[in-house]
Amino acid sequence: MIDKFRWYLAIHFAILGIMAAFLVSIEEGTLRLPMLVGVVAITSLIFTDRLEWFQLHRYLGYVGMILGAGLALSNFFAPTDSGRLYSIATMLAYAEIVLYLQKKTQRIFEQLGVFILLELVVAALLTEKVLFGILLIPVLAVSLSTMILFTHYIALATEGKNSVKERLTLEQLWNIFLNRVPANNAKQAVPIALKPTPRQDWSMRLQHTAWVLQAAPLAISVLGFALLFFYLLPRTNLDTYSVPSFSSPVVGFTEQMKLNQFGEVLRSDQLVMRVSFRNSKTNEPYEVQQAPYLRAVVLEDYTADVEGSGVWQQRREVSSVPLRDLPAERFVAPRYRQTGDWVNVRFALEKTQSSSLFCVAPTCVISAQGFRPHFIPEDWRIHSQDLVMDTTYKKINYTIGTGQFRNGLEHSIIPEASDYFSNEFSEAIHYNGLTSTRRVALTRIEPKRFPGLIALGDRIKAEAGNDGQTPIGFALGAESYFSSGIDYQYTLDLTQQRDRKLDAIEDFIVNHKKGHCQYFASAMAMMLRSQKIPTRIVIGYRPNEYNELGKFFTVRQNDAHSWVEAYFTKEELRESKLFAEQDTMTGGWLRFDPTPPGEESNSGGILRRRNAAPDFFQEFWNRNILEMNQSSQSGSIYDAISKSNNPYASSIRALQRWLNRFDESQSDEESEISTEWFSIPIAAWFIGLGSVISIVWWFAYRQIGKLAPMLRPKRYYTERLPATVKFFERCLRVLAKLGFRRAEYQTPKELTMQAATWLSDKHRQTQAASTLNELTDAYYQIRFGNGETAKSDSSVGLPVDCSSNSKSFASNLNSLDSAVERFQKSIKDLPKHRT
Amino acid sequence: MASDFLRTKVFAKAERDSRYVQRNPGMNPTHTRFTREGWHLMFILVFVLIGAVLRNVNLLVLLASLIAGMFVIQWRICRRSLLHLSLIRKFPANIQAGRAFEVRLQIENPSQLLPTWLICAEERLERLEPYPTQNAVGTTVVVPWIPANSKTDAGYECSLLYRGRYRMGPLRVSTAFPFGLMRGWFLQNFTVEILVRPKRGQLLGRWQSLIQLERQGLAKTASRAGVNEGEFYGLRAWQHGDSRRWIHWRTTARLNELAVRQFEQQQKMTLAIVVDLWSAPDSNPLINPDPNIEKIISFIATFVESMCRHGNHQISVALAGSQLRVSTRIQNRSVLESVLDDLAIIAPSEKPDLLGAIEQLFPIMADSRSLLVISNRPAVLDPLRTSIKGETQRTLMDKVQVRWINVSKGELDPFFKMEDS
Repeated sequence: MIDKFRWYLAIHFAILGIMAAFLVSIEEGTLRLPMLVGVVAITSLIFTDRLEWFQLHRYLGYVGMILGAGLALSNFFAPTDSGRLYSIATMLAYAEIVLYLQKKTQRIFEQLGVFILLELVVAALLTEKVLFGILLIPVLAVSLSTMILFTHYIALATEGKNSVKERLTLEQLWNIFLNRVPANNAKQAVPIALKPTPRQDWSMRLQHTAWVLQAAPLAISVLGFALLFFYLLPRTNLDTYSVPSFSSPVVGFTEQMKLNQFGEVLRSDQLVMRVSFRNSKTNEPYEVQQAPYLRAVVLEDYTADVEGSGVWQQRREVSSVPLRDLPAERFVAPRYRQTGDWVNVRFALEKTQSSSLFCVAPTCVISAQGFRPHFIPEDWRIHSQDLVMDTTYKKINYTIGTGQFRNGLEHSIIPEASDYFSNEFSEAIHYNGLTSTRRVALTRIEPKRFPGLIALGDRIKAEAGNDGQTPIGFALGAESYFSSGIDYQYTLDLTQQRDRKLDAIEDFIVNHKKGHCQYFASAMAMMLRSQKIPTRIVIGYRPNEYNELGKFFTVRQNDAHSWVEAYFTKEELRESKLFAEQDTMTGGWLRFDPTPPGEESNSGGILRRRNAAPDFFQEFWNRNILEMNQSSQSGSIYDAISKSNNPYASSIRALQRWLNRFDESQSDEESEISTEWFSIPIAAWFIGLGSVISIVWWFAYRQIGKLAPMLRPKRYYTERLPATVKFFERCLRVLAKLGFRRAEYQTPKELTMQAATWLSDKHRQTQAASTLNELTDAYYQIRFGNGETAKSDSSVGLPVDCSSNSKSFASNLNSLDSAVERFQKSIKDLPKHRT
Repeated sequence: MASDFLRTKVFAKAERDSRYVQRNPGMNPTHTRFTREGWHLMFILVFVLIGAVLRNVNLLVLLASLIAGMFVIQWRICRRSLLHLSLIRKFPANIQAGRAFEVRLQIENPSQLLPTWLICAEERLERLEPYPTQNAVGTTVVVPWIPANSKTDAGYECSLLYRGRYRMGPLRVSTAFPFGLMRGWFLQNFTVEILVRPKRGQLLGRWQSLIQLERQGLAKTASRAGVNEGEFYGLRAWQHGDSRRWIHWRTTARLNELAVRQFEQQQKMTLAIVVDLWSAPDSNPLINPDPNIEKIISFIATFVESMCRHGNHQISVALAGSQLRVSTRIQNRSVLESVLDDLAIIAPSEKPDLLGAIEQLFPIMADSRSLLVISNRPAVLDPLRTSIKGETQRTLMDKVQVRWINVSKGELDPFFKMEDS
């Protein structure tokens, strides 16, 4: 029987080992480790456990573990933290492999369990994928089934073992302490043999695999408790642990971009971020009708390298306006908060190598976890100095607010920062709009490099007629020309040979007439600059994959896009009669997207709505498990306490500050130190709540037996005396006060006879003695039935028939109660009996 | 002081349990403690939780929550399983050394909803008399499953090699179900003392000659009964243990005292036996029990039982050992049981009270004129004769034929053989 349990346990541990190795390898992406563990586990099941052909000796096992540890730790000096963690997990797996090859005993099973658990701990540090959470449920179920089976195994192994229980006296303990061996130290064998009778239901337990079915409800209970514990555990940090990557991230943009580099970016489908839009008033998902433009990098300077390939980069001159913290919503000018739909945009970035953040301009900050976003007022670039300092490539979450949407469509004009924010803020940042110096820089073009481009621009202007004579009209015409796709087509195939004597943009215009979005944007930017319109290139993402389940955009690397922003003055905007806000602006940046729409192009803006469940679950997992932090709990039960101005609440904040000392990056400048640690209202509230809970619990617990008799366990042997003999209990209490307590060997009748004898002989209380005897007889009749009790001329008026089936039973009880009271009064003044 | 402290602690715990039982009748005062696996897991849990909270690793918090959940579920199921459990122990009334007997445990689960699993009942057995042992022996009986609101039986076979008075219990009932992280237990505080009677042996064919020899000193006027057994023979005074059916009421009314009929006559004998259980001064029966003592006791038990079966002989036995126990006229079951109980717990002594034993048997010897002494040493009667007080007793002693059987010299071997254990 025990061999069968051992066999099933071996199977369980093999499955657990494979699952744990698989969890470790999720992030790494290879199946090397789980396959290795699987092969060894299955082999050991057959040859070590079943056939017993090969079993590693215990000491050889230790040697094997040391060798395995050395082998695994040789990879410990990997370049990334994940690599080091993976080597630790590998070391644990190698130790398991050695244990699998040994004969399975209780000790081996225990060690396997510990190693597998440690492997799960390392796996939790190695991966963030939702697959870990999904697989944790079967791992839990198998683990619980294993533990139940192991408990059975230990119980079966213990059954029948005769154990000699030595009773150590204090003298022996003292001798052991003094290292003295007593003279007569021979152990006495107790000539007793005890052997349990064999039972049939052990095999029944095995046959029906009952323990497997037991694991399911227990797993649900454990999971329920775990989720409750997880959410109730108060978090003290805003920052959460981010799994270190196995390699450097490849998402994001650098501060300069070559034209041919962009094509490489567009070929990768690596996940960059998830973006969700919510209406800030209702907090409901905001329905965006077209793919949004998510700005990342603004490139203004174009230079050609030796080979003629152009390089766009951020402007070189030192900005006259220093970096400012991205202002909060309250600093936005009221006219912009009231027009349009105010939307909160949440960005959940995967690991990025760039400090540039994304936004929908114009914008303000709503929340940011663990860093402070800064912005450059001239070009609405958002980034963070904190991220520049941090080289660990963490995931980043932040929320910004914008009023740029109207009925789901993103408005194309971006006001200046000086117009967007309130006057006092604008004065503080010392920015009043585009300066003449910058205007010169943004209209800079070398005409000799772009003759074809300039000629094309002139042609577009001539063909546009009167509409093309104004700067906005010309820009719209150029956008329309390029985006029509008639003369210029979109392609990602850049294998054609380029004329190296020409600039790449000129070559695109004159020769190839095919390229990706950056070519189109560069060409239009140069064309507008040739007409003295200040222009810049913006690189970012324009995602079109919308997850209907989770209500978010999934942004991948191949959603990267490039477009143009051109500056127009207030008068130019008014002249075009296309925009309503020009009266309130000094000027604005108009967005143009000259890339023709197509299958591979990100320019069309048509959303592809999908019910992508894996992506939804991953986002759900990220938001509710991985990113649980102090701010996530701000809406929970701790909210009232943490936000309260009460001094008692400030004591909790003080405790949190003390805990935050472990992490020096946390600083709480807004906190106030309170010297009051106790609050009477809060204490009274807790005491009251505790009292109510206690009363409800006591009532439910005591009364549940009456309300639901089926739930009350039957008590056969130690049932309370039925309520009908309470009068006798009172009688015994009276006698106890008198000094008569029933000894173990005494029956109630013997006690009362003893007391009656004492009353009548010593104190001449014959009436009381007689009453006592009659009460005893009544008790016996009620308790054990049959017979009459009191004589018909009972001196104390007790009923003749006290049986519980008599018709006057209830009234008889009352008279018995009264008799007890009379008896008590009659012996009130007597001295206590002393034995 | 340390022992006082320990006693206080143990007493305090027992006192708490007893108060718990008084306040909660029908509930067992259940305790829980971690098992080895539980300690391993608790250590890992603490380590993981500290790391998770300090570094805000949410997946580690999740893992720690799962482990904590296991502990909570384990604790509740453990306690709940045992809370209302009750046990009854059943064992046979007559237990003989060397023969296996079965102890039944009836376990009841009165809970209406919750079954119980893996109930381990740990029995404990130790000998109290004649030689108390320092070590108790235990065994564990495991019941895999008891459905809700039902009873089940479990048991174990017990073989006690030596006679004596044993204490069984207390019974420790525990379970580590479901995960084995903790073990809940309670003590079922009923201890039972059982008497294990001596081993029986076999009276060999020549044992009759032992008794015939005893009859050589008897008066030859002993009449013989008729051929048929069961015939009315005569009347005698009522003795303790006689059946009420034997009372002859007419004679009783006439004599105003109870008289009983005797039905068998056969070869009625009156025999006085003194059992001399002597131990050498330097012997340690705890470590080296004397096999001759056990042989003597087994012989007496077998002999007395055999004689009593016939019902017509008057055997009187005086046990001189650590105590002096005298049983006269062993003719019925209750007296026999009393003698066997005495034989179960009697221990040898360096100075057994032989003189007292003989003095108690004088009335018997007056009839039988013979005395059988079973001992494990050479005869030491002569000094005793001189110590006898009373002229009549000394005269009687001179006339009584005494046969001394020295077991250590093998003088009992022709008459008795021990059972192979």
